[in-house]
This record gives sequence, C-alpha cells and structure tokens, in this order.
Amino acid sequence: MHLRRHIPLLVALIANKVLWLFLTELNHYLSLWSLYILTPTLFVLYPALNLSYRKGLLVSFLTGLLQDSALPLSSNGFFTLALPTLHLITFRLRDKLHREGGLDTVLLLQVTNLITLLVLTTLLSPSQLGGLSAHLLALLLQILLSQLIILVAGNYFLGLQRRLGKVFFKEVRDEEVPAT
Amino acid sequence: MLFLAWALLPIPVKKAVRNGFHEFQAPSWEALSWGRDLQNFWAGRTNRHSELISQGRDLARLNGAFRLQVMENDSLRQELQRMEALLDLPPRPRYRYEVARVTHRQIGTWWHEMVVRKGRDDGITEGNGVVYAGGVVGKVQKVYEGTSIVRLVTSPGFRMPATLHGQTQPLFIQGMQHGSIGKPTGRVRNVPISSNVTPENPGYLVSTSLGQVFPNGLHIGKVEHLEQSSNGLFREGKVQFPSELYNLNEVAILVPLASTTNTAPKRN
Repeated sequence: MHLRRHIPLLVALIANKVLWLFLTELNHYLSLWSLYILTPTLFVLYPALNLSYRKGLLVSFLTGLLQDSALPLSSNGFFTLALPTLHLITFRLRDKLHREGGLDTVLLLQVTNLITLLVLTTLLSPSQLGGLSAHLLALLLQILLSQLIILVAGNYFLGLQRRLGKVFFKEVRDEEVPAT
Repeated sequence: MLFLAWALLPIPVKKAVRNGFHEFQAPSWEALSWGRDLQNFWAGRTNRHSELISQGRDLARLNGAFRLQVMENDSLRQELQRMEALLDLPPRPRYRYEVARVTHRQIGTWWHEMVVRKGRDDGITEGNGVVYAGGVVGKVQKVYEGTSIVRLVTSPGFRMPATLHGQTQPLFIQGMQHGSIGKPTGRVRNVPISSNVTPENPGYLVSTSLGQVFPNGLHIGKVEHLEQSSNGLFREGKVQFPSELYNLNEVAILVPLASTTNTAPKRN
C-alpha cells in the first residue's frame, strides 16, 4: 500500500528515463549532421502539473542528475539546477494550466525550453573557438528541431504519463489539484 | 533550499554522485548499442548469397594485401629496434590497440564526444589516444568501469600536436564547431611561414609522437588554405577532418605498453 502511493512518482521517473534514452538514440543518428536535440521542459511537465511539489521536485532533480552525468558539463551541473527551476516555474503556473495539456501548456513549454537552451548556449559559448557567430546556423537548426520535438511530442508525452499513472493507481490522488 | 544544498555540496561528492548516475545509465546505453548491432546482424542475414560471396572474395584479397604489409612492418620494426640499440636511442612509445564499439555519439554545437563500450576493466586510462582506419578520432576524456567517453578531435577544447606530411616542424590542431552541418572542421596553428598549400595541392596533417599520445604518421585531416596569424610569426588555417568521423561505429583505443617490454603490439 505504501508503494502504491509512490507509483505516480515512479511512473514519472521511468518515463523520464525512457524519454532520455529515446533522445540519446535520436541524437546518435543526428550526429551525422552534427546536431543535438535537448528538450529539458518535457521532463518536468508531468511532475509539475500532476505531482505534489516535493515529489515533482525530486523527480526533476533526479532527472537533472541523470542528464548531467551523461553530458560534458561542469561538476556543478546544469540540468541538476535547471530542471528544478523549470519545475518551480511550471508548478507556480499550474492553476492556470490544463493538467491534460493544451495550447497554454505548449506555449509555456516552448518559451521555457527556448530560454533554457539559450542559457546553456551562453554558458558554453566562451569555450568555443570563433564565438557564437562561428556556429550560428547549426545552433539555430538545433534549437528549431528541439522546439519542434516539444511541439509534436509535448502533449503526447504528458498524456502517456497520466494514463500510465491511472492504469497503476486508480484511487483518487490527494496530491493532484482539481482539473481547471 | 535544494539549490543551496546542492551548491554547498563539496565538488568530490558531486563528482561521486555524477559517476554513480553515469554507471547507472551505462547498461541502458550498452543495451541500445547491442540492439543496433543485432539490427545490423539481421539486416546482414537478408543479403543474398551471391553478394556475400563477392564481399568475402573482396575481403580475402584485402586480407592477403594486409598480411604482406604486416610481414613488412615486422621486419621494419626489427630493423628499427636494431638501429635504436646500435645508436642507444630511447625506446619509442608502443601501443596496444583495444578495439571498442561506439555505444552512442553526442555531436552538436554544444559538445563533440562519443561513448565507447570499453573502460577501466580493459586497461584504458584517461588521455589515451583513439584512432580508426582513417586516422585520428580523439582522446579518452573520462573512464568508467565498462565505458569510456572519447572527446573528438573536432571538440572546441581539443588540442594536439601534429606535422604536415613530409615535414618535421611541429604545429598544433584545435577542434572547432563550424556553421556548416555535418562537416568536421578544426583549426591548425603555428604553421611555418614557408609552408604553402592550395586547394589543388592541399597539405595533409599527420600525428606526431611529441604528445606521447599518438604514434607518428596517422592521418588527421587536410588544410587547403593558410593565412597569416595575428602575431605574424606563423600561418594558420581551417582543417577539414574526414567526414566519416561523425559516423563511426567502431574505434581503437591506443593503450601504451610499458617501455621496457619489447613485445609486438596485439593486432586486432
């Protein structure tokens, strides 16, 4: 019974891990064109909209650690702090958003993802030879592809996690806010 | 609160957490890689017998040519050792070639690296050189239990000594992310003023053993145009690396052998 209470959290963690694996495989094939896709906001959408604050924060933090350990970032990490921040922003706005996703959610995802990628680029650019202008075209294409993935898969991924949560956990969840 | 706790955590603890999460993920990456290999295996099974026979015949011819080269190399190596002993020269670095499959590549504007399916268990250490049939790939950046991260020669933070083919003057190569999609590029610096290259007569860059990471003479890339450097003492230009660098599925890691041993390197 105790474990059943944590099923939505486990669903969120496992779904994030599977999505991360999917992105890893996609990026493996995209490396032929030296492109890399990142969709950090996709990982915090379900935890922020459907889990309690603490559980959502835990999922975001662990997912951030998972991503930072796979990428050549500093020891302080980037996603370890970025994902909880994105979670906090989305959680604060969740009363105004549809829990099942929708146009408002997609817009929020697009904006927050774009900002996160720009911050990452700003942090990494000083180490790049020739500065930002040397690889602007490739960078824009990468960001565009990332935004496109979010547009196409954002609501689907959220819906998938919600359905999985319901399959394994039929009782009414006290941690969820009523649907707007 | 979480931010503060994470910020105050000592760096060694953060590194340990990071390593733990990497090791936790490594089996899933390996599973993906094995899955791709299996996919290729089944795709290969669908080939017609006549295709396989012709491919086998081509490979047999190549094997024959390579066997002759290996014999020639062995006799040259023995000759070299004899000369070194005669002249009392310090021993040249020798390497064991550890062949490793690529689990996945992470190449974009933010980073250029790949993860391979060999690690500490196979004697690989940080800083080992990584090569493939077409030349230099990069260096081992980080080693884990059964996986290693390879930083590619195109990575902006990558630097290595090199020479122009047929010359001895050392110069250095730096990775560079260029706006063109899928074209591995870099920058060559400290090229002597006397060196002249043109698109019709490009300069081929080869590795040098000066950095103690790669043996002499491995192909790195070509340079077609050189311009005056800002200090006016040297020339510099854009390096074009082989395009297959972004499409590698197997690489060989150069593990240095102890200088006292005179055994020939293991062939793969």
